[in-house]
Amino acid sequence: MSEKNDRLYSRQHEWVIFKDDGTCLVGISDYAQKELGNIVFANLPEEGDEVTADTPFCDVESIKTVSDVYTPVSGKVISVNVEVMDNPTLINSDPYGSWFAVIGDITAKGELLSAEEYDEYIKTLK
Amino acid sequence: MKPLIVTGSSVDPYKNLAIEETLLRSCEGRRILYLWQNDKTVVIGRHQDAVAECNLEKMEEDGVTLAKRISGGGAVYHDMGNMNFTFIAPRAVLSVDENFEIISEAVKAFGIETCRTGNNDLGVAETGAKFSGSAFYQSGPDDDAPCFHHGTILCSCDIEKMAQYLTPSSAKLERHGVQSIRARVTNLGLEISDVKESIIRVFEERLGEADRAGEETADAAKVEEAMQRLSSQEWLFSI
Repeated sequence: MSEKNDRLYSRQHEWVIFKDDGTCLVGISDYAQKELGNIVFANLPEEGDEVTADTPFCDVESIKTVSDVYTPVSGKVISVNVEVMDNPTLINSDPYGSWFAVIGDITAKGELLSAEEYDEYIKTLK
Repeated sequence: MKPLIVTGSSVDPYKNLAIEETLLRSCEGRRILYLWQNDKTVVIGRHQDAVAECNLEKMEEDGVTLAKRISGGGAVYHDMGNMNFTFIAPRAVLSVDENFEIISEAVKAFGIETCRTGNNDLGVAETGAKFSGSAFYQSGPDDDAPCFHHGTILCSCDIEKMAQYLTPSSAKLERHGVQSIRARVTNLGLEISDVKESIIRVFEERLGEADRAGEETADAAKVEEAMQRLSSQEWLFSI
């Protein structure tokens, strides 16, 4: 199992780490980055954006393909990872270190799975 | 459910991209083939910088529209010598290989053998020159998320003008976003109407008889809404 136990996962292949200060970090899973292939551009949200759980909040481009990325929580974007914007291949090489955004003022959460549950779920795909 | 073939009549790029997006968002699992043409237009990819990818002054002089699509990839030039195809299907069903087989078989009917070139493009086998470029959009990572594969087919496009419009006026600009990749291109030298008929025939041979519709099958209010967004300066000039 390549999934990390320190975070939760959505069926749309995002991961989320809830922090003690009430905010969370959001990124995409190892499965997602493999499905997408080499990512050449990360179009991250803007600070201050209000986002809604289980709807698209940003997108990434792999070779000629744009894919929407969903947020697993509702809230407000506190900050985005400029390093990932500058060097989107980090998402492929280190998906669990490459957070996309910090989301705060969390008002709702979508359905989230443990690492083990997510691992079982991805085995059922394809 | 039978597949649906939609034949466009508008040649306005903003309207056509809005129709395409509306068909995608409301397809409800149905497979759709949309065939359409834009009058003189440079279409850039979702994450491209218009200023760095094309010659906006020359385009304005010649009445060429700038448009930006929701899919990835680089800048292309369309005129009435080019035909566009869009295959819409759920993510798990959409097969790039199958779509290319349909286009290749449709072109082969006129005695032209094709080959895959570059990053998912089609070329004429004899010379390797590209006549068709493709790009892709996925509305989500789920198996049932609506996706499209769209592309161009050069039949009798003005390639000399294409080169002029796709050369930025200043090469020294700091480049942002996704950059275009130059390719040697060629026209098929076929009539658009013949290629269109051939694609429809092969599509139905593969997928079974399809329903037919004109572009008005796309919800007019949604098309209008998408058109406003896709023609806005904010959309065209943000990366």
